[in-house]
Amino acid sequence: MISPGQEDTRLMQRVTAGDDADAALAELYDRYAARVFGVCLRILNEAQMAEDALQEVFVRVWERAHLYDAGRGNFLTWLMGITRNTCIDQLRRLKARPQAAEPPDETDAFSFEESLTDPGSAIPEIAALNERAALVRRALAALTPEQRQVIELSYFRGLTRREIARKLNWPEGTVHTRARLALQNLRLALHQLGLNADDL
Amino acid sequence: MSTEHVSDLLPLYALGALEPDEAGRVEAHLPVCAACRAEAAEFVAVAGSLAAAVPARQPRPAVRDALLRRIGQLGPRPMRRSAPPLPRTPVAPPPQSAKRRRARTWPAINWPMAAILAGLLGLLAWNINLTNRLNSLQQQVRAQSAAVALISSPLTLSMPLQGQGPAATASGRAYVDPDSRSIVLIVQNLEPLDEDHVYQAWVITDDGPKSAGTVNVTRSGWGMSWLSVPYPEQGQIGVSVEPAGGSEWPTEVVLLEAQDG
Repeated sequence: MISPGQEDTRLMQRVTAGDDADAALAELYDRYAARVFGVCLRILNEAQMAEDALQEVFVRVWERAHLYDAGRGNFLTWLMGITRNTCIDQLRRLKARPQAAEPPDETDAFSFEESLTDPGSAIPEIAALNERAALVRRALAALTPEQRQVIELSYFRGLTRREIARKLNWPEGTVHTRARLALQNLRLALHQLGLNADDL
Repeated sequence: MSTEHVSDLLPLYALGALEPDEAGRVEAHLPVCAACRAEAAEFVAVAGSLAAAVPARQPRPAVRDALLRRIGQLGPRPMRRSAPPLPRTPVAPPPQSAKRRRARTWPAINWPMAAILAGLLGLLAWNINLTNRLNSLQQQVRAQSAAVALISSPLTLSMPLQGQGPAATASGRAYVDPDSRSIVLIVQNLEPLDEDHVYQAWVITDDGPKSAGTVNVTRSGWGMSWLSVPYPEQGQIGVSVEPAGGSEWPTEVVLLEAQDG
């Protein structure tokens, strides 16, 4: 029996081999579109923009598939890196516009997650993913509100250290310290819940 | 700069929140420091788990249809296949065409005027030399900043290079801008060369090797360089040892891009 990671690698090989490349891409889409779309919605906070971003993410996968290096990391990590960056790029373009979509209040961002959850999802795979997402959020709940703010503003809003310091009126060194504590505590909390960051 | 530890910067690096110059410092340091690299890998893995905290949401079927239509319109995706391996033995360069000389005649010269003119030209040359050196330094700084920005981008593609023959312990990594296909090459453990030799980079395709400039290495065998040729759709990158001034054809290959599969 092959693992999901091995199956991803095989699908990527089919995408690069050319014969049934579009069918292989469609399979990758079917496997991961819900996760990608969830992250797009989380960052962009608007359904139409999130759908556009979802499409853009898989076009980038298509265009860059031949340069994906399985030796550098698993496909999902690569895909989620593309997803985050596609959305953060879009978010930064939006900030230049006067009517940018306002994200939810950062202090309340992780309870905002709950509002996105569809607890009664009829699709078993999505229900399973969301159970795991709830576990990761439980790990996040072990962080202080300040540590969660750093994660929210950096990872999900694309702000840099200086922008975070300015926005929250913190010294820049404090941003460093809280980011370090946030990731260390998150790793510990994931471990205590029996989760390994590499497997997520 | 790359020898200075960057531990303080690693959490925000993993979260993608460093300023570009700081991210550049981290990327320049990681290839040469195993301790910081290991610490960075841990933070990156934890930061990567954040996406798993987000609930999955099923998109509308119309998005899938639109995507597949768009893929169909994009046409066949770029494929990559191996280029023939570089020759390991020296190959004679193609003959150079002889340069033609043109005879010129000059008008009669006023020698005192010429002396003054020569002095002025000397001052001008000195001034130009200083300006050129300053410009050159500024260009180097700009090139290095751009290189570290490319390396630090999560979307940048990366291909390993393996040491060959006597340089088996050497390694390298080519970082490719996915849009412009510009290449930054980082090499490690390459033996420093005497002044009569240089490391020369190549981009090798079915059409043969194309020189991509020289690569300077430090005494510890580390080097970073922009290559002058974009990354090919099909082919690979190599580095060879050549006589000072470079060659038109690779002589002794010491690093070669690892091939898929």
